[in-house]
Amino acid sequence: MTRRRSALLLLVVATLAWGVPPATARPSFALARIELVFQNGRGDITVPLRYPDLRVYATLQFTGAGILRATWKVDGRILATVAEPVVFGEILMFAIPRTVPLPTFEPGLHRVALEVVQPRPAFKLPEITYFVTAEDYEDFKKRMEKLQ
Amino acid sequence: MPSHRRPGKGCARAWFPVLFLTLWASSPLAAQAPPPQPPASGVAVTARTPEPGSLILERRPAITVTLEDPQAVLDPKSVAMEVDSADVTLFLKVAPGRVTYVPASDLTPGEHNVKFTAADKTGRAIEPVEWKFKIRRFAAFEEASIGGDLTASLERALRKPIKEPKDDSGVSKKTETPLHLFSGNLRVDGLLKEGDFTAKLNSNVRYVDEFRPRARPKSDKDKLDLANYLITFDRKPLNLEMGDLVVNEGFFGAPNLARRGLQFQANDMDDRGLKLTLFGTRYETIKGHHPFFGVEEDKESLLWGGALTWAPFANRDWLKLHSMNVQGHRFSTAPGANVGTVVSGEEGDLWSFGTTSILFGGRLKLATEVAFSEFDTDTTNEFKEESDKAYRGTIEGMHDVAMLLDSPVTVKLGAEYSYVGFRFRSPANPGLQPDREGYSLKKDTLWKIATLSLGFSAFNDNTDRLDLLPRVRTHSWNTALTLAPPDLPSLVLNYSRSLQRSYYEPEVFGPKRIDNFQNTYGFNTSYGREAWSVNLGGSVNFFHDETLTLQAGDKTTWTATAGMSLKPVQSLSISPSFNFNRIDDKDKVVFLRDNTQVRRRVYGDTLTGTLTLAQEFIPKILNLDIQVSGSSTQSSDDTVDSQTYGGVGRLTWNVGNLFWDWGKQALSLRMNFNRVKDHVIPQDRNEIGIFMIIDLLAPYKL
Repeated sequence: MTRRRSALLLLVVATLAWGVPPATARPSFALARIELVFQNGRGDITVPLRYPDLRVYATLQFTGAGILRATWKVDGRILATVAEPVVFGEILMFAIPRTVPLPTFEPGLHRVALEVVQPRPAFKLPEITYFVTAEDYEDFKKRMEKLQ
Repeated sequence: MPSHRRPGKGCARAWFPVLFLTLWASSPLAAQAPPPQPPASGVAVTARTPEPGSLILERRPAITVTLEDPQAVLDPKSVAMEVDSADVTLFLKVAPGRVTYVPASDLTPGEHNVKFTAADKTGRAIEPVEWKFKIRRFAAFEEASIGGDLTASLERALRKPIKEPKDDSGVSKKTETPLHLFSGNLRVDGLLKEGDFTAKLNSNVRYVDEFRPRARPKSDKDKLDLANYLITFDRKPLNLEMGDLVVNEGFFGAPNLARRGLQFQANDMDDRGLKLTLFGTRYETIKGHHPFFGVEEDKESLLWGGALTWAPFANRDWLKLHSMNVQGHRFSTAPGANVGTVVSGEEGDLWSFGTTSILFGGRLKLATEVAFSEFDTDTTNEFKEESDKAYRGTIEGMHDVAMLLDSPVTVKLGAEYSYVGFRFRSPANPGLQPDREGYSLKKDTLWKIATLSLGFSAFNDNTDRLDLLPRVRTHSWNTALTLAPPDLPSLVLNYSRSLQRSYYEPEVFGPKRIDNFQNTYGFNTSYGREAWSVNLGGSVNFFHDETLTLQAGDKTTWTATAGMSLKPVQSLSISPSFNFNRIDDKDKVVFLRDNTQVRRRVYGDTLTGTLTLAQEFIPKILNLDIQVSGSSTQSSDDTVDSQTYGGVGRLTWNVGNLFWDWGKQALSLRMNFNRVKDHVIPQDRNEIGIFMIIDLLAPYKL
């Protein structure tokens, strides 16, 4: 947003200075910022095997208006697609659909990304990670209950 | 001589008095007579060791019961003692005026419970006694433990997918699929407790080693990673946290800020009504083994601040006054480990003052905040910090307005006004949108199974009223009806309308550039039984762009989702899901084969399906897990036509401790596949990989 304003300001100053009207000042639809987090508010989480409630959330900021097209991917595999209309100045927040669980049946490190197809980002998209331990979720629950 | 109690003796005759008492109790006579009281014994317990509630080091303490009369003699048959519900009567030493038990083996550290019953020589029961004591693990601490588990996974490719690009392609081979992969996670949980003092450690340390023989350039990532850690020292009212913590102070200041660093809190809200928070963290989110903030390489990225909350009234909820300051800088262009954006080095600080009030038992809530910032968005240029302000006020109320079918109808009302200046920035709230001013209203009506929500908001930008910039106003209306009847499908219906218009344009810009409105209709329904559940949803958005001629810019977006979860038998679960998107561009610029440019209506469809399956062939021993997905994207102007399929299947045999006597081991065979088919730029890439994996889970406790 700020960059759009700054760019716009520069454009106006340049226009006034050179006396040439801009072809268009309509802000183009572009991705300005993207942040991915798990439910712990961070870009990394450790969960037990077969954990059923792992969620990932995205917060996106744009310039201009248009339709966001993106794909949720885990370890390079497509899990779900997103098509969301965005209006000027709107911050878009959404989670991966509940109907598509993030896979937790494999111990080890897994990578989650939201691959934005439209608008094409001008920067590197983040990739967040989750680690699935070999401790079964049922055993994990029992351990937590015991601790409480 | 230990006294022996023979619980079996006399039991055969015990049913006579029981039967008599039962019959007598059910007779009318019993209703008039007072309940029978056993005759009180003149013998009483005066002392117990270890003392009730005491904390001792001795693992085999002498557990004694001392009677008031040192010469008192108990009926040896009646004496009974339980330690942690285990009958130890056989091991009691019964002496006049005293009963003693010395455990034959060490008691475990922690809390223990003792129950003692007896009767005197005449058969009159003495008052039973029960007490608890604690055995500490170490001399210095009441409780001390460290434990966790190690997960280790060793993976080897039996058949490697052809993922790396060709030698002459010029593309980096960093993405090559590893031939060998070792990943491990060490969970460490620690606890120290002494009286009111508690220290805790929760952490996960990772080690990931991937062997990619052809990858160029080699990965420069650290193999060892301190994924997360949090050390907490707590002695009320003081609390110190080190590690991956969350700062939650103010709306503009640092709301739910997850960072690595330190946080100190003195929370005496109950007694003095004061709470002090001091924190120092990294400016942005980080990954890797950076254990503490403030070390040499971290000086380039620091965020620190403090907050003071004061509740002047006896009821602390009535009014809380909050003030905070936060400042920080980041001189690099790293936006954060989980963030994508373009940033320069930046620095700034912020002061914030606010109030919160919760009145009438939570039925009325008020909050205000005003904040001032000085911020430099690019430390590399000659422009320095610019100052600006932000403020907001919110009010929320709740009231029962009627009764309907014995359930209250509750109305919740909320209103907010906020102003965030053009140059306002918060170093601890990077997602805050500057240059925004407006208000929102919300009304929720709740009744038993139904909620009706209505909302309206109006915002505009260009808060500084700059003549050189346009000013855009956005109006939004939304309504939603949620029905959640028990044992029936739940339903959510929603509608929203949004209107945007630039009502001021600088003359140099010519005609106005933002004038659109959109209507969105949506629904979602879900229903679940023990063995299955289903979820259906859909929405359609009509976007009308009024700034361009004809229908140029008009778009309709359709979305449909369906998900299901089936468990036909206990050992099998299947979860398919589908997602369909259609973007209907009413007037899109299309290039024909001869490179001429025309405007046409173009559809872009994306269909995605995912199937997750889990089959337990032998419970807890042999499992099969599969997740496959496919996605097809096509557009009616033939510019896009591609299909992507991917999947992973894994057969796991939990072998217990077959290989070595430590933890649990599992052997797995995994198959990955992916296929990308593009009809526009003709290509059909098909990859299959097969991997053998050994997993280890090893819990430990020190």
